[in-house]
Amino acid sequence: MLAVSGLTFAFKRKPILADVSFTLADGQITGLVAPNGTGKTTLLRLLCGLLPISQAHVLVNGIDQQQKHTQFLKQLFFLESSSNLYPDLTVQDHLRYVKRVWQSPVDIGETVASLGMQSYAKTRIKRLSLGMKQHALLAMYIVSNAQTMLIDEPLNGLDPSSIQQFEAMFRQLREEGKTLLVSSHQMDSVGRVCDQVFFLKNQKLDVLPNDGQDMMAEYTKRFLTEAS
Amino acid sequence: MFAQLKFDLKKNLFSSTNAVVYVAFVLLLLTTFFLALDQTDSTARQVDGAYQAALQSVTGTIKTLEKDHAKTAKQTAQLNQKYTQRDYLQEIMTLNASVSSPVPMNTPTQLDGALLKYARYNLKKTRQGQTNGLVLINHPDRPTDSTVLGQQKEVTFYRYLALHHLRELPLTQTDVPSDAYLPFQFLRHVSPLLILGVFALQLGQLFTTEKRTGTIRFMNNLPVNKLGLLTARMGTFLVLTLPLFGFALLTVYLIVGLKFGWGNWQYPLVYSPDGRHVAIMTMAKFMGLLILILLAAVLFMMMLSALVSLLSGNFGVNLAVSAAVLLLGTNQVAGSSMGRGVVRWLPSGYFDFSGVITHQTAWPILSIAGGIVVLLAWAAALYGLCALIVSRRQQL
Repeated sequence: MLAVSGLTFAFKRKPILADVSFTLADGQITGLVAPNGTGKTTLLRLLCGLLPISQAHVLVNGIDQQQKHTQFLKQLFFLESSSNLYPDLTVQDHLRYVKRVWQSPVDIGETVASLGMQSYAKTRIKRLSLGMKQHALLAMYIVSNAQTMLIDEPLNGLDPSSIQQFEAMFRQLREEGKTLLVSSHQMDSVGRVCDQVFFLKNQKLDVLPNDGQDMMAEYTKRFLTEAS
Repeated sequence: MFAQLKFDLKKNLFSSTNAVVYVAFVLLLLTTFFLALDQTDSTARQVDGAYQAALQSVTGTIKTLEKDHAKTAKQTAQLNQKYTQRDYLQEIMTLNASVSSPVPMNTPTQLDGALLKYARYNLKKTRQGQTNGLVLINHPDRPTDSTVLGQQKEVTFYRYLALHHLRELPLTQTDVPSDAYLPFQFLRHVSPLLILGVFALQLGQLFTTEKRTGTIRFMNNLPVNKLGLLTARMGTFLVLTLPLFGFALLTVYLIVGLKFGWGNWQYPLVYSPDGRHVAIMTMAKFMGLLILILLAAVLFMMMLSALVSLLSGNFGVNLAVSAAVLLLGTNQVAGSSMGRGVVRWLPSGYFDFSGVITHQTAWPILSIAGGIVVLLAWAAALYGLCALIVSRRQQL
């Protein structure tokens, strides 16, 4: 479970978040939606401690981000983008390293097979397409076996069949009891996978449980109407 | 820690900087070799010229004195002294010509013997305070030292050469065998600051690359002690760069050896450890000590670069700070009146490796062991500072 309280953040004079509090339960997928530049990635960075949270409290399974930072990070996996992978290392190198650092019992071979990555598991990252790198990134999340996964726009550069594959993986992780916070612009996918959606607007989170409503319409209502 | 080091090593193993660093070391150390290939070495001519100049000085005085038919006792004694000097120098000239000819009639040991006799003569006269009429050979590779210590060095040097049947290799000579070539590079041709500069280049690249490529975001989210990550990066540098330097030395040794021969590691280096006594160090010992103090200096530079990387991820800043610290080791700074007071306690006082080993720095220093301790103590202090910064950041 991820619990956040009193989270406020600003880049110099630009406010991003104002006294945001929320809780993410185990076995739940939460979508994080907002137009570009609103602060989705900033929120994810704050949650894992890459940016200072000052007086706020962020806890994963009761472990405080600021008091027991290393233990806190053990409960969580976040890698902003597949462009942050090491270009000279192979997919397998990354997976082995994640498995060791997170002391995970997840089998690398099985994960690679389940994502259809056998043909390029031993290829260096710099030789992979964006879609392949996104697969490698998702595989790292799975292999980490972290309780909480913060995933930033995972569907970028994916073809429709890969998107379906990713959605199936997210559902499987939910079934395993993982907590997923997934930022995305793919509203149809958000509607298919997420249990609830956080719309980030005016430095606040507008929480919408997913009851099967049209998420694109919800997005339009919150962001595009105002713009037009 | 070992697994982290292995991962870090794999990340950096294929970096093109490794090749650049290796080539930079090789080129720096081979500059003299290329000069030797390009032009005929003039050292032998200069040495011969030095012998000739000394002989001409003596024969000139002899002619002047011989013209005077009503010599005083003092003038007669002076003339006798000049005859003695002429005999020594003529023998040296003859043997040098013979040893240097395509078909040598004499051995280098005989030439060493002649030079030793002349050095002993000069030492004896210097000790007796009869320095007025002495004609010292102005060797092209070392300053002429007319003190007793200077003459003792000459005697010790030629006695060693004669005993070990070695031919003198002036420090200015470029086409020397491998065993002398590398020590000569550090003694005379290549500034240690340049060598350390190449290490600083590799360090700057290693400690800032993650920030430049963005992979630091992955590292920052790892559930491991960040000091461990930094220490593993240091280990990577040592495991990668020190062998690169070693391979560069080996490459240079082989290239020079194949062209100019292998030489003898027992070749002597004469110096005074305390300004009163004379000591001899073989090239092998010199290289051993040089590698020891170089390692200590590299450890210090590594800690400095690691510390700077915690404060700025900019490669230019990292390199500029390292360069600034290296500049503190130049004659102009370390040897300045302000520098002289504190430099013995600073790492920069020990960057002139050959000067430190032979006690010939232009500023006061501790012994070579003391220098290594100073370098390591600073390295440890900087590591402590790194640990403090990382620990405070982890608590924030």
